[in-house]
Amino acid sequence: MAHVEPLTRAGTTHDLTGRVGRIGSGSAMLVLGILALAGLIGLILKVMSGPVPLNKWGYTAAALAFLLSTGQGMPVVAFATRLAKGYWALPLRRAAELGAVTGLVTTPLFIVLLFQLPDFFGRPSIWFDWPGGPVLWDSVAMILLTFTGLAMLFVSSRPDRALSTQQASDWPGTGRQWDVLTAGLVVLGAFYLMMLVFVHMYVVSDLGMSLVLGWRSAIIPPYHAVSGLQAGLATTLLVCGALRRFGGLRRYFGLDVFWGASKLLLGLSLLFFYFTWSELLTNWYGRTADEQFLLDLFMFGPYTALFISSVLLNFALPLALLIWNPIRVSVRGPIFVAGLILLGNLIDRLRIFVASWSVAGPLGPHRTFAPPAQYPDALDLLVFVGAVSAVTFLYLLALRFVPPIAIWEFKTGLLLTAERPYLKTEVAVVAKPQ
Amino acid sequence: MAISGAQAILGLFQEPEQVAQALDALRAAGFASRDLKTLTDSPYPEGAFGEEPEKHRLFVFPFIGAACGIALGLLITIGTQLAYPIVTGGKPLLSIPPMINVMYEGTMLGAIMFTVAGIIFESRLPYLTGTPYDPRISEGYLGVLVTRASGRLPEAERALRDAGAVDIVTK
Repeated sequence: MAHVEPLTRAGTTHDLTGRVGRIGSGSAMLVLGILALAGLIGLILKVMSGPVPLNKWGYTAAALAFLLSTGQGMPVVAFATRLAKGYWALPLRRAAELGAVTGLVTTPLFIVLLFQLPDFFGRPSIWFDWPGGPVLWDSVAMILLTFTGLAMLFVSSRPDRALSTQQASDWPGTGRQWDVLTAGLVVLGAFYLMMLVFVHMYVVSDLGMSLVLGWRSAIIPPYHAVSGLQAGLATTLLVCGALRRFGGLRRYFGLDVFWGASKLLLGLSLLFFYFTWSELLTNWYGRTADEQFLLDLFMFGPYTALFISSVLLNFALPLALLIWNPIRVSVRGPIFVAGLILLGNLIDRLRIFVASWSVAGPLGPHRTFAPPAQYPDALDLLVFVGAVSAVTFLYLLALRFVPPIAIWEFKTGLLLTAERPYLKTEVAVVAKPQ
Repeated sequence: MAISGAQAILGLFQEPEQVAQALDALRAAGFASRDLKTLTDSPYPEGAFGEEPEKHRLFVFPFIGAACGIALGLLITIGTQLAYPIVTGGKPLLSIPPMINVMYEGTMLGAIMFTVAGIIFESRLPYLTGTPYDPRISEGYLGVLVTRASGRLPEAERALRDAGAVDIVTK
């Protein structure tokens, strides 16, 4: 095996600054750009054909919820590990923060969807006919979430961007600046999380629950937010796996990153079951006509396959796999499970939003039977693929301006970590400043 | 290197221990702690060089922003409803649940905007003090910056060199 030099501070700076703009081939970005453009055309065609029938927006709403859960859930991983001083996560924080670019796609998509909603006057919702609700207030919340995510990315990458200019005015690195930067990122991260769960509530309430007459649940908004955090962590792991494999960053994304994240992933998978089970039990034992209809629509009717797949991919399989040390304490195991969860989240969002929009309409008598399963048409697929491609394109574009790993943060890790002999082995000693 | 007339002087070091020694020597020479700054390429644990912690007021910004935001939220929700009261269907004039949504957004808007402004302000960005800088700091060297050193530059340079400075930069 070839000898690998240990990472040094100077070597890290040189290596990572040299990688800026080299990740993601031009041809891949071209393809993604074309797909994104096609998706935009698909969305325009949908809008031009008018809001009705409302069921044509189900897949677009699912795309929005999926991107909100995955891409916009990623920056929370950076915040949580900073708050908890999780040094194992130093390499993945930038990859997580870059997920904030998703907001540049979800924000306009959300606003477009809000304008397709049926009249909310008199409709059971969180707005009680309040002026501006839901279009104005939902839009403001999503814009604020996107702004906060991008601000986190901007602040966090400031020292690294200054490396390329080497101008004192960009970032001289005084003690005060480092203090403000580290404290500021935690504060902004906290606000990001507060906005994210709030936007999750808006999305699932206004684009889901309010469209299904009789759907009253205090479980679904937190369910949507927690499963979104699970998907955000899974997406971060997949991106780290891709950066490790295709970005030449194998030395930086070591076992610790995936092992540490897999424990969180296991915990979040258990939470997925808690919320799903709570929702099921509430409707099962309630057994009112509305609740029987909800069980039929979302769990045991036309979308049974999606419900079972969602539970399998988001809970059962991750649990069955991650309880085993050889899988959890590995690089490929957590990445594989993250892939399952990402697929599970997609299926879950399709289940919730396609089903909700399939019964959307003006106020009237409550339904008792779910309509047949609705399959996507060409425009649905175009918009979905286009939205995901647009996010991937923006992510790769951002990597042309900022290093894939927060250099200053990674170097702090090097500063505080040392290999020390312990009896007959060597252990890593990590200093944790108070 | 000629240093007469300069207001600030920067010593470059390769080892953190040397920085700690330089700061001790400068303080012993009578330089005030507030005029001594360390420049590094990544955050070091607070007090690692024996420097006094620099106070910042970042945490005040979100509170001020949140207060402004919640006031705006109250104005939009309660203020407008009370200013133009229209009772609909005998329902209460103030509808608490949606008001909380709007006030939450207002609070967060203020807090977030003020935090971003606070980070920029408290980081003193853009850094236009005109003090000396060396690009080698971004490559891992450590800098000790002595500001307001006019008239005492030779003394400062001696302390920096004695501590092991590999180079001295003035402006």
